[in-house]
Amino acid sequence: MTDISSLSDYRLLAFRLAGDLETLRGLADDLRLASLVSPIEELLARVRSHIFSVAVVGEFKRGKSTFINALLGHAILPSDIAPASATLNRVTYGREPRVRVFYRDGGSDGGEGEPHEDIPIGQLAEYVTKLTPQAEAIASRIREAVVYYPLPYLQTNNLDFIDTPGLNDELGQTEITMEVLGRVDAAIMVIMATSPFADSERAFLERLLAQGLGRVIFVVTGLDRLASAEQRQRVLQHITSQIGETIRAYAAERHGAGTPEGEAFLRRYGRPVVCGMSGYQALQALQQNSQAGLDESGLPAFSRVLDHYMAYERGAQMLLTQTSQIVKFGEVMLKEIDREAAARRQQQQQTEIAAEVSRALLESLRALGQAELRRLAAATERAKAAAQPLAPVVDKAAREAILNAIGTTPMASASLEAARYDSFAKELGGRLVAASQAAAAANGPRLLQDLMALGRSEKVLDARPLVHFAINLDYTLRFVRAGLGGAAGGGAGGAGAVPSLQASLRRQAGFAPPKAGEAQADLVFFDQAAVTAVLSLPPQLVEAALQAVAQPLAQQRTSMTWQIAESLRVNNYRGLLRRAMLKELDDYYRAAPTLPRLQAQIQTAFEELQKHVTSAINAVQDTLGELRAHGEREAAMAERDLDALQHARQEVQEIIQRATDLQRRSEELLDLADQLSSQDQPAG
Amino acid sequence: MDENARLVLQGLRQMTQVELAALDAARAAAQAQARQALEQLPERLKLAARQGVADTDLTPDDFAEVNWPAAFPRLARRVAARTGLAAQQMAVTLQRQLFQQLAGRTAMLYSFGVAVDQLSGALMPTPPGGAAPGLLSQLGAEWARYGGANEPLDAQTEQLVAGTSGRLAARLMPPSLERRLLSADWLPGAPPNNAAALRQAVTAALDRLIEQDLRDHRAELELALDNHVQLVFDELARTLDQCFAAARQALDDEATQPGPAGAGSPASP
Repeated sequence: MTDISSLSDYRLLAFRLAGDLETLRGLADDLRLASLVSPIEELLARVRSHIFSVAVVGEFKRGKSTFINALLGHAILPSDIAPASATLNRVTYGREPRVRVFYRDGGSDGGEGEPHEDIPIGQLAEYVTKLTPQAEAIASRIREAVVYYPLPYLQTNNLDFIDTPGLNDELGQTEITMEVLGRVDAAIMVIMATSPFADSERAFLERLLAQGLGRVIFVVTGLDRLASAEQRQRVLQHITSQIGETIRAYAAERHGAGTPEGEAFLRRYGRPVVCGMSGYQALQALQQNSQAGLDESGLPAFSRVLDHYMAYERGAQMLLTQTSQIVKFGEVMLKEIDREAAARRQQQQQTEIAAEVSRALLESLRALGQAELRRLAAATERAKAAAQPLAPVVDKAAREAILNAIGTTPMASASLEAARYDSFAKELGGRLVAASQAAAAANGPRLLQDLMALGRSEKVLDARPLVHFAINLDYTLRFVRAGLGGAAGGGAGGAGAVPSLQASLRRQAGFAPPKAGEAQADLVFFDQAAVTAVLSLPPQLVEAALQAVAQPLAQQRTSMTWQIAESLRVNNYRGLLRRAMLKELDDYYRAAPTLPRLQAQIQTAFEELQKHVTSAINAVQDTLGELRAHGEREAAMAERDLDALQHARQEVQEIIQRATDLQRRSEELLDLADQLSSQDQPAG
Repeated sequence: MDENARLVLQGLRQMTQVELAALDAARAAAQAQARQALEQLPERLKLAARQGVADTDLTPDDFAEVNWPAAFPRLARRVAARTGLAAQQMAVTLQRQLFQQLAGRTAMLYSFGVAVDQLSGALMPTPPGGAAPGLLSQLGAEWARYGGANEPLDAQTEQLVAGTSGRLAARLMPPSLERRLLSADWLPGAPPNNAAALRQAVTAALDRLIEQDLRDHRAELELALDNHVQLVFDELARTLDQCFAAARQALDDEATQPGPAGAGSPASP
């Protein structure tokens, strides 16, 4: 591909270059390098069209537009004594004269592709110049105006001329010119004979050399304004020597004086082609069909230089500029790939640290949860032990309450008569059951109070660690899950997907979180209804006692005492009932003692709490698993991204290598062209 | 200190950053909410002024030229009182909203405090009350101050709201407006000699006056509201700064403790 003979097959090379450019275009998209996409596409279009682009550059008021008009033989571009061109104006071949202006953003056409507008060629000055404020305003929105003109010279040579805004006119316009230099194959630098080679022109030439556009054709215009032929010759010589000096100084600075690279550079660029010409004079001569005037204008001599250039150097120069651009794109892309890879690695590192931090927080939570479970197990035993002395107390209270009711319920001796006793016993039974329930309802809260008081004073029964664990768990899980992308919102306050331990405890276990700012929290391990249920005596107990006294009562009714001592009847009855009740209570407490039932209730309540804590630990465990999976996914993605970047890097390097190779060959070809044309070199 | 403990401390520091940022966001949200409420102020004051006019009992005799100078101050005082009351109510509403916002934020900060306390306490179990003993109670106290989880606010917080909204009310009812209401210069010329026409003229003049005055003081009012919210948040932020500083110090102290976590670590005072 890179030997000289294959270089001659430009079309094949162009095809390969286009392939590389397409790869770069795809990579620019992948790497989101929007700023590279359009220049790559532009170069791709140039490579495919084989159009040779020549930029005409120079300071403002140097007659660039007039020069192009003269070259084309028609006053196509607006030219004026005031700095005229405000946009890039590309002159290209077209079957009909017409102009298409491309806008930076939005235009009146708004059709497909880039916004553009077609205008008659006669209106060009109203769009691309600064002659009026209106024109200037329009021009500021235009990126490029393409002038299509039926000139066979352009068609035959597949050639475009680009008229650029004057340098040093406005900073923005200078930048437009500098930017276009990267997209052209050759440059013609226009210098005015009356103000020859200013410092700014020297600086500009250095930038051209740096851009790789060393083989610039220099045109000195306005020679007709100089009085004599001798003066014209002197000016031309002066400018030529100034240019040569600038090129030599640049070579010495860039490559070092006397170095092989410096010598090669000077061989290639050290003999500048400088032509003298008056564009205005040439245009007039053409209009008047005056051969003498034309010869005097210098146009024919310049045309020969241009023809020679097109014949000998065009192909190699095109390749050189195109490959230079490819190398530049590639270098930008390599930098971007390296930056992206570094960012990805850093991101991966940060993700790993964040995951590690989250993992440590979760592990710590899990340890806290397990400690809570152990504490709850100990608390269960302690609460059960605490119930031991309390059970006889509540039993006694219940017994006293029911016996007291027997003693205090009003009774009339007549009620004890056989005929009325049943209804009396029913009413009394109701009262005794009510008294038993009232005792249970009063003793339940008292028992709870005692247990809670114990909880406040004994560490193992203190509710605060569990309360705080629940708050901490909710908060930390939200924080961790926010990092996983599972929660949103201010701070760590986003709604997490994991059920809240606080809410579970509150809903299912009568859990009471501390009020704001309250240091104290009571561990309410079972509610009042449950305690009351444990302490409540079965109503059948009263029923059985009443039944038990029925027989002795019947016997009493037949005795003498019943007949004579009416006042003793009630007392005797109360005594009978009390004894029967006590027996029933003793039997009941023997069969179903309060303490084991109370302890079973305590056990159940604590188990409920433990269940919640266990499910909280499971939530932590699940989140840890999720974190691990997330970390693995992230790592795999990062690995894949880095692989892709590495692959892209390799591809770009290969493209740069191919382009550099071609660049070298193009330069060799240009040297060869120099040698071949040395006999036929036209006068400058 | 082992690797796990170091990472937990790092997590706690990250939580601190998140909370500080969230506090800042809450302040901005509160300021935006207050400004939004400001949009309603002209209408509220105009409505109050109209009620003041409607409430003033004027008899036909009051419009007699000789009686009007005595009747007018009665009207002006009533209008000023009504508008002042409306400003006061609005200030209380704003303050209540602000407190509710702060309650939401401080509730989260309390949770943050619990996490700091427990997680750092777990790293080094010996110090009583975790790493920053004062942090949790201070955060809890702040939470309680703004009403805690109570909605509506409890009587104590309502009292605080009422007590702290006076300055804001004075801003919402600019002194200039009160002065102008009490002077007769807002009345359009001589009073018409019937109650309906007078009320109409008075209402229109009041509308103009209130709109004009509030427009003139708009920038001042916005600034005052921003400052008011800022002040309340600053107060919270100051407390929090102290809490965070204490927490950070405790965390950093732990981070520099030699040896494995919890193994022979000296207790913090």
